Amino acid sequence: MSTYEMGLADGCEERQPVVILLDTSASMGRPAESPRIDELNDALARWFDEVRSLSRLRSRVEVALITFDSRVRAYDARAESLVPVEGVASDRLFAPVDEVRPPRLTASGVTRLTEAVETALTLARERYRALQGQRVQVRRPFLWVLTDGAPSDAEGQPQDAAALAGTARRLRQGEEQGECIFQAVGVRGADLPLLHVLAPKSTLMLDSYDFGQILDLVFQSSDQLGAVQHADDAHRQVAERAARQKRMDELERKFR
Amino acid sequence: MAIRVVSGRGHQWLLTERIGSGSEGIVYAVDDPRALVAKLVPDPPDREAYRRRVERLVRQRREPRTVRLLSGSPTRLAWPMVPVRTVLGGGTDSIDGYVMRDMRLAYQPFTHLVSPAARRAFLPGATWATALAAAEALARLLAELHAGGYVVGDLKPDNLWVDTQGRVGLADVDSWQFTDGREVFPGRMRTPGYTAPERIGPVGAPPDSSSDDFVLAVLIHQLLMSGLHPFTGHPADGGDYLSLDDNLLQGRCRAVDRTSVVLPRSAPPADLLPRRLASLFGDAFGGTRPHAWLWAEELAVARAAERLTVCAVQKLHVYTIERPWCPWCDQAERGMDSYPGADSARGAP
Repeated sequence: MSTYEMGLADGCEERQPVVILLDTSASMGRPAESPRIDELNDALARWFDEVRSLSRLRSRVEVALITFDSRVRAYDARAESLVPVEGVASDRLFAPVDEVRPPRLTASGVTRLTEAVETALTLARERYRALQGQRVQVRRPFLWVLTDGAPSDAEGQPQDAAALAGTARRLRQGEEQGECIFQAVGVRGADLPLLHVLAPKSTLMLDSYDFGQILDLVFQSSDQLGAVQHADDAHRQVAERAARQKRMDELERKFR
Repeated sequence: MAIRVVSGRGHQWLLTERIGSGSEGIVYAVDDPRALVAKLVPDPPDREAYRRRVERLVRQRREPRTVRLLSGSPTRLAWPMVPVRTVLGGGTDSIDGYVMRDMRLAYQPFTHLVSPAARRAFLPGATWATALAAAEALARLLAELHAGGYVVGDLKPDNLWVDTQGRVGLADVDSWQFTDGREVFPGRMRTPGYTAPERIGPVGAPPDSSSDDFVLAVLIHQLLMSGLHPFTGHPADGGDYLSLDDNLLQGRCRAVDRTSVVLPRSAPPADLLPRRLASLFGDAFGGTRPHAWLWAEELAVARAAERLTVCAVQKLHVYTIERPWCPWCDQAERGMDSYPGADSARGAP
């Protein structure tokens, strides 16, 4: 029996699914001398290597990685390859956090952000229902999107607020029905007003963070989700954690 | 990175690496020949009140009730020794905190004993006897600090330390609730899964020794049940699982009502407890909470050498003589060995 059927670690722990949506569009290939995508790749490799020493996360968290550029793909951790989401069982796309060896991502194409978010919502909902059905003590899935750009349609044209409204509404519904928590993280160049349309109460601009710090924030706050009944409480907690972190980082920089 | 902090008397310390961050504060290693760490709290809700709180705690180190708590070796409490503030920034922009003993010297994080996977890695020699010893030490410590007029408020694994003998230490003293005779310094932190029912919700009750006693029972349950939280389980009525706190509020708890939850087959068997302790858990989670001192006394009885026996098959399987055969072997047969020992492949992650 694999750990997938057995459940994580010891089986009696709560399970926290985390879906991370990573922007791999062309803008992530900039600046040419030190592309952000390289920084992201290094941070992913380092973070998933170091997570093995974090016993609490190891025993609780399962991850699905989704990348979006002109296509939306998900990472099959067992096959170690990015695959189209269609036709793959959602259960297969979640892996225990310490069994993920992240892919080396490349940057190209446009930013199919809304399509990725819709995909993630479906994936998270299916996984949540499947685990409830198996009587696993699953918590609401946490969805995080990391982007440095602005959403575009299939032709690469920038989308406006009206084009995002449908996705934004489905996110709200998902949160209100207790199916998920959605957080948006913008890094250098991200279109903040549009992210606010998608996530009015849960958009963070973290351009002073490196990707490693962002991954820390993602997983630490996903793990600290309390008995909070409302998604807004979770969003507030995440924002407070990010603010505290930022203050300490600034302090440490001052003393450097 | 090297933050500098200064005490009221002008002594400066260099903080080196960040070694941990909690709900409010961040802990740094201190460049000092004594084993010290510093906790900085960037944004307390009331800066002045936080300063007074730390100053009072530092002063109370000299009071008899506190001297007693701090006696013995290794020291059980990471008591604030000196209030400090950051050097840069100055005025309202500086960050307050305090210097305390580095608990890592004598102890390991409490989760190393509680979580089966961490136990295999960090405390591979630990047995159920170690868990009983830690449970008694924790109950005794809590009983003593209640007697001293202190309330922990935010009692949780992250604030606790343990060693190979089952000795227990406690940090985050600055979050306690206490009084200096004139002013009450309230405890307000809460942690999911480690909060008494009356404190859960938007307007939770303030902590008191009784809410501490509730969380003590949660922690003792985890220690004695190989990490199993007492409110673990999928609702038996077929509804969705929401959280440990939801189970708690709905009265879903195996120790009180075995039919209220569905647990994985590999969970530690419910009948591994001596009858007396099982009955105390029923009380603790069913409504009448045993005091910390009662737990300490009953745990001392349960862990006496003549009350324990060692499994004939696996020497790390220690259990109560009240049970006719080994509960840990029962559990291992169902797929999870809580105390596998270093040489056994069973129960490996």
